[in-house]
Amino acid sequence: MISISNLTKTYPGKVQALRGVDLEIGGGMFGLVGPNGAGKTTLMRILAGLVRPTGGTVSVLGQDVTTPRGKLATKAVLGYLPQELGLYPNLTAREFLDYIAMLKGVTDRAIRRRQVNDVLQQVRLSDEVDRQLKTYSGGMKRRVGIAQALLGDPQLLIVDEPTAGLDPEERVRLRNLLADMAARRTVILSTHIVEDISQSCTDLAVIAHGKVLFQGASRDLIAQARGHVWTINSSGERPNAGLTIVSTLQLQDTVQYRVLGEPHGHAATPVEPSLEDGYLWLMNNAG
Amino acid sequence: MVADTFTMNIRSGPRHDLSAPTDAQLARRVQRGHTSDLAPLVERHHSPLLGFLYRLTGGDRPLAEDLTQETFLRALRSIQQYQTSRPFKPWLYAIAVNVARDHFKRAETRHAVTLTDDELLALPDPIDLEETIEIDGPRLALAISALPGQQREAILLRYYQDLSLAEMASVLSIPIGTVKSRLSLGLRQLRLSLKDEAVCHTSMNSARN
Amino acid sequence: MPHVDELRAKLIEDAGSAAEADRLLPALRHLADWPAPTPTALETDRLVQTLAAELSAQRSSSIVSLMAGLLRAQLRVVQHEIWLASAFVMTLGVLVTLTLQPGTSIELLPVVLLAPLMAALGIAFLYGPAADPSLEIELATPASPRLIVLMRLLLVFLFDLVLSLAGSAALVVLQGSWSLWPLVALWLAPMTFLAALAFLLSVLFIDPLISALICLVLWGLQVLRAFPPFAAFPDWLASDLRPWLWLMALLCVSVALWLAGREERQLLKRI
Repeated sequence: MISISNLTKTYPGKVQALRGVDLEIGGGMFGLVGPNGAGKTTLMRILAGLVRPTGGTVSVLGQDVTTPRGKLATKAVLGYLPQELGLYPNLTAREFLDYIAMLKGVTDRAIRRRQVNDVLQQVRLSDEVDRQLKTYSGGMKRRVGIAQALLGDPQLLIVDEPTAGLDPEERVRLRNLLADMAARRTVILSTHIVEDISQSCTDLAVIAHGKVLFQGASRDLIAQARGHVWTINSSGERPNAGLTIVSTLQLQDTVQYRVLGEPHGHAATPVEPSLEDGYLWLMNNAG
Repeated sequence: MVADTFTMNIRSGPRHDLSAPTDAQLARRVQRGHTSDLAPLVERHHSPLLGFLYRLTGGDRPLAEDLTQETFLRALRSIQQYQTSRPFKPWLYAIAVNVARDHFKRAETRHAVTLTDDELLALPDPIDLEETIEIDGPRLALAISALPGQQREAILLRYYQDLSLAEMASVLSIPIGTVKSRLSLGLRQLRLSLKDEAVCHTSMNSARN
Repeated sequence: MPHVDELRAKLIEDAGSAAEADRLLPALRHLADWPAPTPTALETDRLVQTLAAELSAQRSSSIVSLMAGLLRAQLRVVQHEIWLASAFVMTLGVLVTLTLQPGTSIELLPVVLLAPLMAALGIAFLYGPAADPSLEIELATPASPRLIVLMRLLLVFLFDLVLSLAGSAALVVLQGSWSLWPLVALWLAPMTFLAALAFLLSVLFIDPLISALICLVLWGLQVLRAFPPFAAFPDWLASDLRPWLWLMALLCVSVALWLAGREERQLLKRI
């Protein structure tokens, strides 16, 4: 579906956002994980035809996105949710979605109305549609963002950091919605929160400093950390000696640390790695 | 309205096989104004559609060609209403059936006198099982053409276009049960008219001898 | 054509019994003997041409309806302040003009001085972060950003044009010392040019304030021509300058539209 070969992007001012990215993205949910500033948003924007690459090739559904024709062909099947979600404050959700549907080429008013109602149902916003967007909470705005991306039943959904700033309940709801979407189309989800993709992604890539550190199945990323993840119970000081502390759990008398690395000298219990462990292990070793 | 009535592409098999796009995929692209995808779509359906309309009109080629073009035009004009999650062929044939019906209504074409469904059902079953019906292509064609409209449509869709019962229900906008009854009535009517043919034929032969 | 066994199976299903199917089978085996004509490649080609023509006829009507739809949509999207400010300014201008002496030079009439500025300021605020909060989303749709921005421009400009015409007409009716066309001819070209310039500056700097400021200064110089230090400034109201103003306006709009379509530039300059 999407073939990316040796993609580079250098912004004016010599900022190298992408330094030779190779990716193959097929159907279903694809996760793009990496820290902030890794180049995820640049990559998403290039795929959406918003930013022109400096070098390399990108082909979406067999079309070269850098040509005007390819760009238009991609946009015709694209649903895009940017990281910075700006909405017209004085429009209602319905008016906004109607506007975007128009921009997506739905000139017939009746069809537009039907599409808008459908997406509102899918994101469960049917009750609040006639209030102005400025009155919406962050989570509701995000849902409007997803709704507009779904207009026109796009084959390709690109979603950039959709869960940032949402409360846990909203985050779970959004993740489930995206997983449902991925059942029948290609969804590219970029995030710095590993949890966002742990359940739903068939394939993922880890990107940092403009380069892809890993592409493959979730279980392969998990496998990398196998044998390197431990829990250490300590009532005193934190374990150190070059260990990375992944998380801490306050028990009755002690604190349980989940660590990555070699636990020399500590009484450590090996545990099965999670996706987050795999990710952190990879990031550590990448330097 | 359940979420899955919103157009979803339910695909089995390779999802993005660029070498053989499905009818629905082509139709979707035409919906979005890609004229280049019109040709492959038309090429796939022109011949079978012409065949269907040819037989439906009882072998009138010029009329069939007109109706075929009219079908495609109507399909194009209502292409935005086509839901890409539904199969394309039944949608197209539904339009074809309506185009043909509209024509017959206008032309007030009269068919051979046939029995009503009730009369047909009331007939006793012909006893002479052993009598093989000597029939050939043209006579069969005539017999099918003489069927009442609804049965003719059903027989043609089933035996020439190879549509499934479910597809036919979709094309004709009727329940599957009605499809079945039209088929069985059509077959009954066919047998009757074929037998009459055969009887005529044999009696003519015997008269000659 | 289905194989005989398949045909028989179908007949059994439809006729209801194997016996019935067997009675029909000898005859229905001749189904294949009723051939239908197949269209030649040429005939299919012609059909495709006819249909393609129909499709493009549909599409051009849909481009028109897209433009009409976009125009209507911009009504909701354009900030309300622009309409209100323009209406307010024009009303004020008309009222002030009415208080002036009948002998006042036509070139100093508030309506003449205000119409271009009002249009320019309104259009300056048509473009910028506040005007396009959803730019990134909009850029990812197939709609041309140039078309969108052009529709917006047309909408506000036409509104201001109508407003200025109405104001001029009101003056002619209420005061009677001037006739309509000479009055309109005075401000029409300058207004078009200044509006186009404001548009270009807004797209160039993606900052409505800079655009508004520059237009204000330029027009201020025009107004101040009456005073000796600024007498050297070209008189935009002069009739021989008009063709140039129209030309410049066209140029400004063309360049601005071209810039508006450069998505990356529009996107990144806002960060």
